[in-house]
Amino acid sequence: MLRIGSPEEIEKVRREILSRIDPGKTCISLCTGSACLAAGAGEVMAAFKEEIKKQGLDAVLDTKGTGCPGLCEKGPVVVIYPEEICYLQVKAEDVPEIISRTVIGKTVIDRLLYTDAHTGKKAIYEYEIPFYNKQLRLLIGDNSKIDPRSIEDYLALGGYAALAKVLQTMSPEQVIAEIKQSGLRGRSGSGFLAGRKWDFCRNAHVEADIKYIICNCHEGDPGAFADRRMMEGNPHNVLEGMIIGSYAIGAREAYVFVGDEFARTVENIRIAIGQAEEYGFLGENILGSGFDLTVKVSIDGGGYVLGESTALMASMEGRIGEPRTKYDHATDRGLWAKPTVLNNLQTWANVPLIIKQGADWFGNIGTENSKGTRVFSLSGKTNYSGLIEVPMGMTLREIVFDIGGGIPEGKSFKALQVGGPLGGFVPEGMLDLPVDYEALNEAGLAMGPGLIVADEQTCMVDMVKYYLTFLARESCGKCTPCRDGIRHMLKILHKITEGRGKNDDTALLELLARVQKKAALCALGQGAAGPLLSSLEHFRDEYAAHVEQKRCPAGVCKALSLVRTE
Amino acid sequence: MGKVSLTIDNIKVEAEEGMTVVEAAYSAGIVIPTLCHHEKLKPYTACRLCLVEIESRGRVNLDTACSYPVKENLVVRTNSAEITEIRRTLLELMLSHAPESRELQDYAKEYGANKDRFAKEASFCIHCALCVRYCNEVKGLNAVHFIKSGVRREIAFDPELASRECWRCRECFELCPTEALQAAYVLTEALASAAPSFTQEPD
Amino acid sequence: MSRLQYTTEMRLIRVMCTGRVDLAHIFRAFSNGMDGVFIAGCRLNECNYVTQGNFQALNLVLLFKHILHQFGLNRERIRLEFLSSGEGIFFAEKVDDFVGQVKGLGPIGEGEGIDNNVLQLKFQAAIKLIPYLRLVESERLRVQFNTLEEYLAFYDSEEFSELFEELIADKLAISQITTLLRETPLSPGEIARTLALNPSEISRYLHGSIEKGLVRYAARDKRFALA
Repeated sequence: MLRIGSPEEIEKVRREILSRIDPGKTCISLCTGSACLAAGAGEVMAAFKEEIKKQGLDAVLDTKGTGCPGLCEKGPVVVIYPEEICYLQVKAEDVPEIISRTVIGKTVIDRLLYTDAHTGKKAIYEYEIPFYNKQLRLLIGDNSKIDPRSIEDYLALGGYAALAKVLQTMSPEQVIAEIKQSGLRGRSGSGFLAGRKWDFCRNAHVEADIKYIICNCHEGDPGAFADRRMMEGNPHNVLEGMIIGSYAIGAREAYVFVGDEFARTVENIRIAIGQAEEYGFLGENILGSGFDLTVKVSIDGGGYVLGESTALMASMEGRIGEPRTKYDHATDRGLWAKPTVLNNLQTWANVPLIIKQGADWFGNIGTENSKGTRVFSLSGKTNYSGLIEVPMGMTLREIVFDIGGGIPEGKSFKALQVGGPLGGFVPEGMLDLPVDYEALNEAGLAMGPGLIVADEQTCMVDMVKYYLTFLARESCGKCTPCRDGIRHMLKILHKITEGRGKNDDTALLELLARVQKKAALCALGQGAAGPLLSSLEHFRDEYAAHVEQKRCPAGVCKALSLVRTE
Repeated sequence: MGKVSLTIDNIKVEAEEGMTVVEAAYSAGIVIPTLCHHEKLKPYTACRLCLVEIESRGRVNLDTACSYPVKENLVVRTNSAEITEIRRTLLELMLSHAPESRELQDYAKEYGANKDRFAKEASFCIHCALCVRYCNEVKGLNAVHFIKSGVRREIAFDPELASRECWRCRECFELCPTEALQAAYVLTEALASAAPSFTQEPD
Repeated sequence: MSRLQYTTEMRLIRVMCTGRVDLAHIFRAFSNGMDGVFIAGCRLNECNYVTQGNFQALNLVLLFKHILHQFGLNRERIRLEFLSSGEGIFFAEKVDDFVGQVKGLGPIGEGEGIDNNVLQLKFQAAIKLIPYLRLVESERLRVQFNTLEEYLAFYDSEEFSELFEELIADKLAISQITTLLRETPLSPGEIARTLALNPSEISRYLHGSIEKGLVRYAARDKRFALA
């Protein structure tokens, strides 16, 4: 493959790829995201390949291992194109039947279809499934059509057209202006306007011979799997966004900061970078524009605190991954003290879309101050869980009940955990909160990637204990309010859940939480008391039950359940 | 160096550019409580005792005085009900580790801290890191450093460096506000050495 | 003291105040083969001088009972009695009683089913730690109450147990392990059996010792050795 020498050539290559695709050929798209692989997608793929060979169907049937389409709990997920018939929880034994009855016989297999948890109604086509059609899948909608390890698939669907447009018709300043106007805000929870950050970096107050951009793919929240699945499913989309961003800012080195434990994600990014270099989208004189860029993968050490920007950069520089107090912005002095833009991968993923469709189009999606869509991972006590993409402004209620399908086994909803260990709980009465930075912040929540549903059998005190136990190890341990605060909070919570709670324990917890929130050195410490404070605000009666009546209403805390005589 | 004028507790203070709020306050006779601060060492901002209210460009935030650089027209308030509650709680947390520490006891009296509010902790280290930083920044060695993270973080001496260098240095010992450093040192010395017997009168 | 008859199986050492008794003395006595240590001091709150050193002895003895227990030895092998100098008969009675009790426990180590070599190793490991133990005892564990009951209650409490575990018991175990490894590299199972300690605790100690640079894992032999 010869390097593409100019933006115009991309279209030629794209047409060439499309011409090789036979529209009449059936394609079996099997999700080979990590979750489906864990559920046996590897065996299913092998079964398909074997069956196709056995029956000599190569000419009419293709298989493709794709990125994650979203319905993760019902995997392995198979979508048969061009009809878009969707089969769930497919096993290797189902394969011969799928080929004979559906591919050849053009009939559907009932037992593999999506069944609505409440109505029992079945859905045949992917677009009929409420879990999918209630979302706005601008970024992840193409995942089931793309093999993340094939740059040709990405190109076939219009990939790198945004980069072509930028290099042909826009100056760096114009790109920044477009991103600013779109209202795109950083997707790592802080919600800072991406365009403004890029502007600060381009016009840094510091003379620098080099600028950096970093893609933060370190998703540390337990129970969240949105960022890694997105990157694993369509790495070229993120890359394209990073290349456009580097051009706009004037950076010539970019890094993807990602955890070693996301093995397949790391593999897919590495392959994508290699392919992009081969095709000329990375390297020197990209597409003849005179702009150079190298992208490297920086494997992160694995601690939760490394998601914090100063700790992240310290870790990349080889120093100990601890946050530190600094008064200048990373856009002036960041990585190796050079101007740096650090953005979450979801932020980068939105960039090609904004360039292609325009800032105004993007600005029409979402609320007044929160534009575009947001990708979450929905899990917990919900009928449907997995990767979801919703427009800003959709209410949490719609996510839990319309997309998630409500609570299984007829149990009742208790709370939605938003923002992970540094977030909080949303009780039923507040479910009409929209997905919006300001609305969530005012309610004391952060817009993290993970949404976890809790039902009546979840003990809120136990859940807070779980998060604090997590943070006890993940805190860097540098500052007193966080290290000692968490230690003592945990001691008290253990006492409470073991039936030894005293009447002033709740007040002591509140004092520690209050002080930690104000006095901690970094966002981890400041947010660590989030779940605790949130649970005290909305579920204070559970604490009272544990302490005063030595009873766990959800029946979870074993030491207390034994005390009951009923 | 240029001069900077700021207000601390309603007192106008003339400071030198490059000073921190703690230094500027001290020069005006205002003492802000500190523990992990030391003139010879870079600011560490870990004990959080020196948190003060800083008003800059219309925004009021709590920040550590030991690290905050003075700026023209800065308004600083070193005390408030909120700050007192924070300092008192921080002291109580530290006292659960080292109730005997002279520095802590002095501050405890001033802020009404109750050493029994929190359950007793075994380790007496309060993580001011003066020892670790001194060895690293002033001596250029890392004979004592931190191991483990989070709530289990602790100081530890490198046995080899300790036996080679520490016995004739010990400059960090007087920096420790508790007995934690000495305890860590004698422990390492003991564990890394061959077993003495009473016939050799080790002490 | 009146010269009343009491057993001659005891070696008497006079000190001017029981507060003078140190960890080193007690360890030396036991490691030299003594089966029991009896400390007699003035009654609490009756000190003729300002110093009230007998409270220090009380702290020390109550602590040492926990150390004996950590070694697998009977706590009753050390005793502290309070009396005044005029109570000669009381003294003789108490001594006789103590000697009889210790005799009933059997020779130290043997009576509890502990191999003598292992016991010696444990004592040596503890003696190495005396400077550390002294510091920790005086700075962190020593308490000040008015009545004997309060002292007994504290040293019996869960609060004390937790502090003792982390500050002393863990360190004694690590010292025993490093002393053992000084001879030859060993596997966790071998260490656990020799020292009669819990295997999962051994793992924890080894891991901590590696982080502190005291121990290393010799992958070839699948054993742990001194660093």
